[in-house]
Amino acid sequence: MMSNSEWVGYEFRRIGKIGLMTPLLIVAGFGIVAVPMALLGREKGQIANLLSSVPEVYLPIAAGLAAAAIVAREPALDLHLTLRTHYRTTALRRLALLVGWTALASVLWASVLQILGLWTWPEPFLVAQLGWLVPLLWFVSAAALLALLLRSQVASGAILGAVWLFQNLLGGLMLTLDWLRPFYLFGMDSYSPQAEAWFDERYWLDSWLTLGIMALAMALCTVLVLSKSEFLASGGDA
Amino acid sequence: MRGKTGKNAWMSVAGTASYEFRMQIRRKSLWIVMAIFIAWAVAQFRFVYFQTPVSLSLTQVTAGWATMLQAIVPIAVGIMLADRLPRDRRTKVEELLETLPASSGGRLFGKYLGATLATIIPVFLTYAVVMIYIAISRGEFMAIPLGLLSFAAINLPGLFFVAAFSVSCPVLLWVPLYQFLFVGYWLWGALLSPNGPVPTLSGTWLNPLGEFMANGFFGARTLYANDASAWEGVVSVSLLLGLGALALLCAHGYLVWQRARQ
Repeated sequence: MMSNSEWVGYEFRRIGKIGLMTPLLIVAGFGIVAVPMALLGREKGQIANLLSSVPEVYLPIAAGLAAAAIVAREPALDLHLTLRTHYRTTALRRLALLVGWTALASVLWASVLQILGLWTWPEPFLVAQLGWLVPLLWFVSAAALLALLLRSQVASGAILGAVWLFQNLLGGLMLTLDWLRPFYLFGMDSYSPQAEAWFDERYWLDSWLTLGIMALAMALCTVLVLSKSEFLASGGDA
Repeated sequence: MRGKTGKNAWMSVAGTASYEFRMQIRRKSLWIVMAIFIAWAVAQFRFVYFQTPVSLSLTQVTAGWATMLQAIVPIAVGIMLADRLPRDRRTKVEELLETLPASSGGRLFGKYLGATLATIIPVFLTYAVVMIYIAISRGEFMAIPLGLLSFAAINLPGLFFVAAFSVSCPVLLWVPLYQFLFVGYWLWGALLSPNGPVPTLSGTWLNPLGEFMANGFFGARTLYANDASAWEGVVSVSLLLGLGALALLCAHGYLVWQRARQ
């Protein structure tokens, strides 16, 4: 029987180099994009906006796509049914590692930007970290639940892509409608010091609470579906 | 001998394509995902179509609907095709397929053709239903042939371009990483304004929304290509199809190299 923390090393190795490198590659990619922008003479504020949007707009969807792959694929699920550790526990450990790893990359990136004076989110720094944590939890729990319900990694990924694109394209429209406003996932990205008066602490609180409750509800449903590991073992999407 | 080889290659393309087509079109998840994307596209078109105060010409409407559909639906097409090649490895049929007389290139192309056509079917059906609605509501039955032409010129090149990369790239890339890059590419290289702070491909002939075709062939107003000539439309189609073919060739080359090393 594995000790309480021994699984961490095994699961870390199972993610593999590419999986672990993904958030770092994304962050590095945006760092590289900033170079031609600077060379083309774009304003510092525009570059800082793009770099600051990475933990909120790009890392959560990447983590979500990976989460769908994690829960939809367990090649030895039938074998897993014979183990003392429930598959639910194993899958949740993997999701927790994914969230933790992405969160670490996000907070490090935010800190680097803060040190370089390129961080554009409203103060205080620590509270603003909720700005990426909430979308991260939202995307990961939505992806896991969809992948389990549809029994398909790619279908979950496509729906996630639709949500992400919709929010990116029609974010402005969502912010003008009172009832849709709290469901907007990328509030920090749309923030500017000249923003409208309602775009204040009340808005953030309202939005984080709404999205946080949604994420929690989807996570609970994921746990419930994961408990039915025999159902999961009965095959998947073609 | 040469004729026989050619026939064999063609048989392997046709055979693989028919199996892949059926496999993809019978996926329940394909229809669920497409329904979500299509509902969004139709709602957006309905909003724009009924909100526009000036009466639009028929070509404006058919080309406009084609580009609007093209802005949204290729995301679903690209992601739903990303697992087709890795699936052979996952289900452990890859080595079994190697024993068949069908050539590996023919199988790859057949897979691309079959799976892509199946994924495009829901898109085409939606496009056609809206075209029929437009034809009846405006009493202009030219909408049907014009719609078919618009779909072929505006939508198909971009869809085949996206599909070729989605079938090929997962040969090298981890599927979730490819999906992320693809979704990010779509926002950046297709939808982002070329006048914004970030340099993008959306204002070039590589625009996969078919804007150069919509403007160059049909004279429709588009987001980023408003004084395109018909030749620019031809160049855009050729580039999109040519790059797609190049992606498939590279994937084939890589697979052959990988097999030779085993």
